[in-house]
Amino acid sequence: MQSIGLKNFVLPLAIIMAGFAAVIGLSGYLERTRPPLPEGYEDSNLTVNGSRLKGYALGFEGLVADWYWMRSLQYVGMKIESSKSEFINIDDLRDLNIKLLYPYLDNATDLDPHFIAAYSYGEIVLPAIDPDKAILIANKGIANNPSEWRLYQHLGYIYWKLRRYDDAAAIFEKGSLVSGAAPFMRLMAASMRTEGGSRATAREIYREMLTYSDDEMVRLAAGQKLNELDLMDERDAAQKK
Amino acid sequence: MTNERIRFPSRILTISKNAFREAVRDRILYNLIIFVLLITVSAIFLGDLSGGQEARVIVNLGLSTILVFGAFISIFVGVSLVWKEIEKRTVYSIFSKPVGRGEFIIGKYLGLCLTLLANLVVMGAGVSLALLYVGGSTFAGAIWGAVFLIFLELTIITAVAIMFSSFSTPALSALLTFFVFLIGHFSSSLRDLAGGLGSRAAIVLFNAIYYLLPNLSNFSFITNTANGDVPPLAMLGGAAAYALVYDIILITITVMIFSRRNFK
Repeated sequence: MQSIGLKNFVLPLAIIMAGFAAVIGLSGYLERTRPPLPEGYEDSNLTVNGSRLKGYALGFEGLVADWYWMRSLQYVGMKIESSKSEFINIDDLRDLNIKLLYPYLDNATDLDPHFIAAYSYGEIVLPAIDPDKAILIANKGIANNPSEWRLYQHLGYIYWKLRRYDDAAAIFEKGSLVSGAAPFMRLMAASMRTEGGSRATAREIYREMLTYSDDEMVRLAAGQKLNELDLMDERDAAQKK
Repeated sequence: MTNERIRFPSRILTISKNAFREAVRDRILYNLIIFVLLITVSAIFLGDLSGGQEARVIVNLGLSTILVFGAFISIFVGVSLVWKEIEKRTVYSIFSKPVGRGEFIIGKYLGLCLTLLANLVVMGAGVSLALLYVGGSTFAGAIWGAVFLIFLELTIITAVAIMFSSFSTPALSALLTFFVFLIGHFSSSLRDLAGGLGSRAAIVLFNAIYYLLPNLSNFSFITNTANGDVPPLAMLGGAAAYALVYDIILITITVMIFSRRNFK
């Protein structure tokens, strides 16, 4: 009776467990011995163009858009983590070679043109990588979602960062006409024309983003910027003393 | 004759109840365990991956999984429903009783639709609970319009599967039904593509495919739901009518083919 139990249960269980242990060891061995991919491979744009995929995704366009979105977040995070420099200037991320961010976000928003979080993320992060691409994604967002005043706010932010104060004023003005737009949009339009380059304007822009944005990533970036402005104020105050 | 008329729906009801019980006995509902596990794990871990968009991702993932699971059940159970009765020769004992072939097919079809409905309700509830867990309460109710549209789509896939299985083997029927599922989702895109090609023959061919095969993109509302949209009543009504008409066409074809089969 005991030998039947051994044969029917213990022995197969031991074989299965030994098999899994061997699989774990072999997986590690294969990972170590695999030849490395050519340099720059991770930055090759091998993604399927979202606009071509549209209509052929069996109704799962939103799910594929989400995949591109999560991939874009991981991609930026991975680039920052693997950066060798100790200080990362969030106003200029060109050294990190984050060149796939735009294609990821472009694909995500091709597949789901109303994916506001993807536009917002691009509008906040892309200016530090490629401002032209940031303007492209912002304009695409506004064209697809003309009633989302936040997208006008973010485009105004991009123009402001590029010191194109007249363009910024115009887009804040346009956004302020959208139904439900926050009153500060009109104030921003006026500030851009009169004191576009001032620190007070910058503080106002980031404070509005931090307080009113629905997007976690936008709030995070705005919080960092406000901290930077505080540091600049403190440094100026110390210098005056 | 009057007696026949009264008994007609009750016979269909009996067959559909049996088809439902058979599906339960075949452990079709086990897929719900996998689904619940998937949604639970997603709800817990998506917060870190999605940058604050977990509700949106759960809607997309949950509804897409409902469609995939539902399509698998429709195809694989649908193609074996009638075939199993023939293979096991139980069809002989059924037809020795006063049961028409049409009643048999309609009963089987409705039984599988009932199984799908039960599945979809449980899976939809799972997605709603996951959404409540991640704080997406506005989506929790909004998904049900899309779930209803998925159910309508699955009734068509089931009808297609039963139609093919009435004259073909299960493997071939499953393959053909899967092709209809694919082309049904592509048909409007293919028609647009053909329009761009400029070839008259291609336009005629793709237009024929568009009208002949069910246009399943009529039932796609997953991406819109993830953006907080709810299908308007006119769309739901139109889609229900479209599905009903297609179901009637396919079941009529199936009954026609099945009635000509010789079981002697």
